[in-house]
Amino acid sequence: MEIHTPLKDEVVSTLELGDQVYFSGKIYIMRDATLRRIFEEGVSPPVDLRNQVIFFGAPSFAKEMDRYVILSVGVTTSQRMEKYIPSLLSKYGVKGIIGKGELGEKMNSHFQRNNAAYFLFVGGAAAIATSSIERVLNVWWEDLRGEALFEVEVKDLGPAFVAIDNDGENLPLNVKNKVLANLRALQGDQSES
Amino acid sequence: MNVSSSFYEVVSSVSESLYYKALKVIPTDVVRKIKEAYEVEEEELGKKVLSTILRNIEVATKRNILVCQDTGTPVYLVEVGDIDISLVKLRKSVKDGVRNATLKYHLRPNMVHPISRVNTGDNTGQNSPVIHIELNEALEDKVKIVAIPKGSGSENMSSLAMLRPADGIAGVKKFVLETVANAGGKGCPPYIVGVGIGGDFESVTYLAKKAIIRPLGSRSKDLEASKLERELFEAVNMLGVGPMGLGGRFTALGVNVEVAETHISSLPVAVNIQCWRGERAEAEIESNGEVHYLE
Repeated sequence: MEIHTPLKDEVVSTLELGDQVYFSGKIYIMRDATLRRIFEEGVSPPVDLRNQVIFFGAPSFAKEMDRYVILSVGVTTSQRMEKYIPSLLSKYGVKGIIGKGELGEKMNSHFQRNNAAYFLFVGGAAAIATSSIERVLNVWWEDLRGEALFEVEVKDLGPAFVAIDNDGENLPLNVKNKVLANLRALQGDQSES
Repeated sequence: MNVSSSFYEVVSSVSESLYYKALKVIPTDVVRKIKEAYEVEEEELGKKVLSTILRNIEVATKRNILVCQDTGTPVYLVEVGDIDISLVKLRKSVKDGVRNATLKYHLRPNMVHPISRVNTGDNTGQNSPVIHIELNEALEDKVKIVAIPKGSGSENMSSLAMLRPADGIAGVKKFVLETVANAGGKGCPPYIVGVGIGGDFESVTYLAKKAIIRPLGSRSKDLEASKLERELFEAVNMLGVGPMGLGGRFTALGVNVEVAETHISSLPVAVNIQCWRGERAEAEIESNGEVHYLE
């Protein structure tokens, strides 16, 4: 399905685990250093993030005249940003987060409580992510280089898969639990042989 | 045979091109395995992820851009044949190549001081890039360079264990399975799993890294290792991690095992996890400076 940003509450409510989505509109790219500035240094974000969608990543970019061109951007591991996610959702009103890899069980209730969703983008699929960027609208905190805060316009950024929905269901964790059961079964086989 | 001073300039420019090439072009054996996996994968999400990966590879080729944004830790394996050469100049030339590629192609600089976390800005630094120099008489008067700009997502999921000989092959399998299960979706599966067994503390990890650059579908020359490759490949793909950890049959595209004789009281095992990108690019340089790009 197509999602137009900002992300509406009624759209979040229709999302189900594993749904394949494509984003169009404004999204915000940030990661470790950007979030440290907001939450550790206490600097307010220079833009209103209410109902917006965040993409965890750090682009490599070039400046042509006074225009920014993103050369490559892809998702990074979301787990590193876990401690900031509750505040991103509750304090700043972020509705969607696009990242890579699982988020822990304690994140489920935060997505549920704030009617928000976590989307998994395919790790390493930077060529398609980069191609979906129509233009760079704003760059703040350029001193953070690739970890600056980017506001970009995207068209059909995807596919991304709904990984935590607003019922607090967590798809990567469901898989992980199965993997651990499979591991135990396989190790049982090993010790017998 | 002696080389002229321009030989080192060739080494530098080849090291530069290989770095960039490895980030843009997926090795043919890896693409073939991803396509095979896509055909066979039964889980719906796993299949969707594999089709996304294949489309991403196509887009990168068509638009001549990087496959993945992670420009990696630059790692080089340099094999030197029977050739009269300065290894010091050789090493410097590879380092120059890394710096030039980073600046010329605006590659993301990844290398930071491990304590201060200050970025050197050009992907070089103390003991960086990682350069392994090996002697290989079979190369005759050539030098072979393999560039492996290793992504951090998968590298961080790698592991080492000093097992006891009593743990035996069952212990080795257990450790490999635990490492892959623990990596889950975090290191961008389906993986190429490189396993080193034997040697000592530091050589076993190097064996594991050499295992990830051996083409998929090839078999270890060591019969015991070759048998283990098959068994581990089957077992790893029963874990159910699947493409990007969303479930499915393909947790690994392949498992390669490299071995070395070890001490009577040791059983070192290392697992180097490589993401689906399988980044590597190779070239051979003849003593007259002629270059042959391989993969």
